[in-house]
Amino acid sequence: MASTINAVTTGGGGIAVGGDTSGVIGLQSNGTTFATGNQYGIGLGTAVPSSGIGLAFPATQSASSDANTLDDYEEGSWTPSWNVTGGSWTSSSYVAKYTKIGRQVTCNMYWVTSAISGTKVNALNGLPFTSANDGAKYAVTITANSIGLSGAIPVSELNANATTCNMQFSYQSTTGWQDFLTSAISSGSTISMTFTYFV
Amino acid sequence: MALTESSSIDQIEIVADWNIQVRQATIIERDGQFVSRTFHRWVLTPDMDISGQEQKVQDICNVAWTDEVKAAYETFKAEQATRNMP
Repeated sequence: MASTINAVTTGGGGIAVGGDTSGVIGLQSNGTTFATGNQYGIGLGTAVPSSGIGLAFPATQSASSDANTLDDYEEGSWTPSWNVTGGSWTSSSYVAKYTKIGRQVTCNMYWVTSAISGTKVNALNGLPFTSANDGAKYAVTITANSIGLSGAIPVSELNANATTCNMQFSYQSTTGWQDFLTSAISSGSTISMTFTYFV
Repeated sequence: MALTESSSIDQIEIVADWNIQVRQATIIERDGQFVSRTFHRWVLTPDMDISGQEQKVQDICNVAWTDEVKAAYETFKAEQATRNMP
């Protein structure tokens, strides 16, 4: 099938553009290509879709100041690590992924403990993006297996302008949050954390 | 049919003066044709050991992390320590 451009005279009218399956359709304004279409979907700016069907964003974000414009999408992985006073928290395996949509980043992390040492866990390090420097704090959802002390659950939050999640324990019978003691963790313990923040 | 995989640092950003955001892209090609791309990210701060980073990342860090920036980062860390969770 050859590439075609046809005027549409029925209904509201318009322009129909067609190409063969190996072809690429480019849309330009003022000499600049702002979108590309092929059999895999639509690419914005310099992006060219390459598999499946979807909307592709440029590998490097072109940030928009307009509140109604979606200007970025990215999926990837990151490397979690822990700030531990006087020791370390190592894993036998972990999975850590992120998805960024516009200014919003969602991270997930699953950690299987191989060994723990030291006195207390201060923070989860290694987040893929720095949180916005706007004074906000972000809640972190935690589930843990074989981690905890009597009457306590692990809690965490992410500060503004930060790349770490602070870790502590919340006790049912004690005001305020307390140190995340390593004595609550053992080999085989697992922890999952999910959090969403703005950049 | 040959599959090849290559990784490179394709993005280095300075965020909020001292945070250096690094992105590594891993690209898989079949006979020279693009198949897939995945990303891995990390952020470096002035208190980290960067000796294991690629030279171009170290170069950016060394330019960005002036004594003034390092001092500002230490002040920021001290402030964070006092505004941690209740």
